[in-house]
Amino acid sequence: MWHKGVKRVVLGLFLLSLTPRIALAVADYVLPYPGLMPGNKLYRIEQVFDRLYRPWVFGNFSRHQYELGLADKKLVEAKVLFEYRQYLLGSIALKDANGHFQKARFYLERAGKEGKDISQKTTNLQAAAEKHREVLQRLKEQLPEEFIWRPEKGEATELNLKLMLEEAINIREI
Amino acid sequence: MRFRLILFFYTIIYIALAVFSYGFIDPNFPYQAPRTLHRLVYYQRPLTTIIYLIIVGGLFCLYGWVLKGVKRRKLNSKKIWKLVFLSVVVLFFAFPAFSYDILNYIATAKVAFFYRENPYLVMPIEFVGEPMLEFMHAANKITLYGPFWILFTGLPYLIAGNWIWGNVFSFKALVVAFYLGLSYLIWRLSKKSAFSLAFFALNPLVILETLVSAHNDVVMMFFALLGFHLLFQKKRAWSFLSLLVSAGIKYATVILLPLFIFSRWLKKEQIALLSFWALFLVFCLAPFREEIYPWYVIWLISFAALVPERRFIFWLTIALSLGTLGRYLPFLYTRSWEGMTPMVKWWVTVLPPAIVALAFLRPMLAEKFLRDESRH
Repeated sequence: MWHKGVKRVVLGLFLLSLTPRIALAVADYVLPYPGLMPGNKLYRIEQVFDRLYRPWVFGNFSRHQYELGLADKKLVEAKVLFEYRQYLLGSIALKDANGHFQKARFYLERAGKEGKDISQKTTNLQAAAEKHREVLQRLKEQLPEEFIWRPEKGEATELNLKLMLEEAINIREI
Repeated sequence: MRFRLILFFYTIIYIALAVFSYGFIDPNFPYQAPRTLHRLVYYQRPLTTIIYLIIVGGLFCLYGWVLKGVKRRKLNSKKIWKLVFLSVVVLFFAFPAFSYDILNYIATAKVAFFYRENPYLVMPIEFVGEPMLEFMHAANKITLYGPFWILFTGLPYLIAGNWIWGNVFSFKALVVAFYLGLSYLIWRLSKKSAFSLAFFALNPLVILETLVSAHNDVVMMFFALLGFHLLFQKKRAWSFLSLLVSAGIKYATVILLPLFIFSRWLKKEQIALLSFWALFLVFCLAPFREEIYPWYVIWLISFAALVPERRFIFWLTIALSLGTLGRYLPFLYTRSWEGMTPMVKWWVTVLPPAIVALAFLRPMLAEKFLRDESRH
């Protein structure tokens, strides 16, 4: 008899677990999901597409958005590569992300000089910078300070990961 | 005498329509309509609906009268052109009452030519402090139109600068110029038929959506028909270029490409017929993207005018014109796009063409039934 009671309680709890719950989630700035990674056959094609797309992007607001989008994409790519201990590829992606972030900032400043109101976009850029720094800070805690990358063929490359990450964080100080 | 009477009634209705249109000015627009008009449209909704019905009904009655007159050879092309110019002269001064699209055209031109940004990537809402944001209704959308349309809008925008009234009227002038151009093309393609000219240029939907609301569909259709005109003159390269410009305005006419390619094996009438049905297909697919807008019927009227002897197409086009103009009624009555409005919009759109379809199908079915009976 008591088995039935237990069954009902368990079933009730299970059904209760299916009901929607309210949770607070803070997402000031959302980074994209990782896309194609180096090694994937389509990775090169995607890079070519990104470059071909560039002339279509005219105007300082458009270019700012385009560069910020690429900065986000490359940062996520770098994060995944570092987490998989692909330090050389990760550092290349991080350098790209730095370049795109600097360009995003440059185009926004240029839009400001044109007389456009850049207050909203500056707030967005600050949120992006904060999110980027958060990711970089976490990587800094996880990764070794230095690493020597020895490929099967060719010369070894010395990677000062700590310095690299600190530089990336500095670039994103607004 | 008869023509003078038509002219008189058209003048009266057009002036009434032009005055009535100013009641629709958005409350946030920098220039306001006289209070009485504003109150009428925004607060005396049943009366507004009745006035709209009277205007549209009056236009349809006159349209029928004119078409009958042309058929009985009492009205010639010259007289129809007079009516067309009367429509242009009076309604050019009407406010774009029934749609905010003209404001989207202006905003897109401003994004491209004033802010020098790509309107396919940047929305008007991104320009903080932009005065147009107070009264435009699609600020959170990137442009929906093709690149050729954006290039065309450069001219009226550069003439008017940032003066909103100047822009409204310079954009209307652009659309009106293409309305006249399209009317002329239809007249030429139909071997200067007064009936074809009247069927297109005086159709109440064309009048309201082009001369009042200034929709760019006439620009797209002008280049599509110009393409056919060039094709019939054996200027194939120019005709393809014209179709490219047409599709680069609002995309819909891209469906005509196969007809351009296979035009050698088709007769003129077949091309017009197939073009009508191809655009009818795009028209029917519109709800999958957004909804059926009244001004899409302009695509169909442009080709239907070239085959006026096809009775089913003739009546179907008129029914669609009537039905889609009825789509404004529930909004005018309730000033809401919610509630019963979508249902009423659906019924008023579907009912007139359904009645036409039934009226044409019934004799056909009856004939088939009688034939089957006689066999037994």
